[in-house]
Amino acid sequence: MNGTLDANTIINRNNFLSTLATQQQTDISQISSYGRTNAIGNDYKFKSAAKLIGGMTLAFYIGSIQPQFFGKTMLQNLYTENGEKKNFAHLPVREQWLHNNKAALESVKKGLEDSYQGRVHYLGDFSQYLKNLVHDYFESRNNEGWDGYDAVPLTEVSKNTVLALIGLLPQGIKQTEIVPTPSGGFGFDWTEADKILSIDVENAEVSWSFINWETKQKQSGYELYKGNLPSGLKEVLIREFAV
Amino acid sequence: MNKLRCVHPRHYVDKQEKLSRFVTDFEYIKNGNINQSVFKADKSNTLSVYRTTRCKPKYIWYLCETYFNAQAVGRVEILAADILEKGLDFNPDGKPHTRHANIIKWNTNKPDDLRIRQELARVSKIFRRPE
Repeated sequence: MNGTLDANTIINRNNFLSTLATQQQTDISQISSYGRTNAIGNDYKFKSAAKLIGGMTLAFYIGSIQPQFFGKTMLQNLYTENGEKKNFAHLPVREQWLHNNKAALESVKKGLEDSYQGRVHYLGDFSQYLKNLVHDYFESRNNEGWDGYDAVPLTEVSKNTVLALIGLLPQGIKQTEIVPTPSGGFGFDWTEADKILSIDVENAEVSWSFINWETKQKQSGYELYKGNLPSGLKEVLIREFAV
Repeated sequence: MNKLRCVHPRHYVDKQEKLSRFVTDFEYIKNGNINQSVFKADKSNTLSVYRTTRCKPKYIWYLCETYFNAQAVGRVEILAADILEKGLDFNPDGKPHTRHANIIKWNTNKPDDLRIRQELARVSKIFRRPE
């Protein structure tokens, strides 16, 4: 692996993702979704610039937009061998936004260059990534109306509860999204085409709801945090969102 | 902006109306998914929306910039019928703009409220703000 961007270093996008999915035992749709790359608890570590896997390079770079997941194939999808932009219609739909986003594209290029130069920064495993995110939210959503409406600042109790919950999530479940909520708490969503699991943390109160849209199955619960995951919630996570 | 103005809304919210909830963070509309927290009511148990039926996109973003927040990154659109179907209701208060309304009567049972938000997120559409 010489770190250059020539096409020979990448077989093709699908092989690349399949290889990664096999190696990491994660869901391929999760990997290709520009979301975080890993199932919680797996051993794969995040790098801010790049990681070599199977002779290929992944770039995970925090740019001006969001933490994103990039592969070299993305650049090859964007440019011809002569360095000209490809016809927009030829790009995978989920990558088209990058085509016209100069800042994001520069971030990808910088990440790849950093990787080539050996400048990588270890961000910890996925649980640690989520915890860092919680701390960031807590620091930045500390004013009334942070959402443009009437949101209240995130509370210390909510932060502590959600950090504890992250530490209690079962090993080997799929990645999740976490966002701050206007009531001063945090919300998790595990979303797939046919099902969703959401957790809402408000101070020490933990509410959760699971819906399978196809089978119409619904489960939910509510309890005050007492040092463990609500049993029904843990069961749903393992049953429905294990990798 | 006079040329962009759309017809004055009725004094009640019709079930056919389209409603817009502006969002200030991409995290809520990431990867084509709408996080259910977009529909989480505030401390007064209301959710602020704009009635944007028959409004051109340019006018909708004018409303956003003028009466909400210039930093909005997108909006989530939902039909009033979907709101009413969940047992929720509207207070078309017209403040700070005649096209403003609050969604009211949110369920105080938290898991039920969470489920309603999941269902609303599922039937909503994302519109990212034009560059």
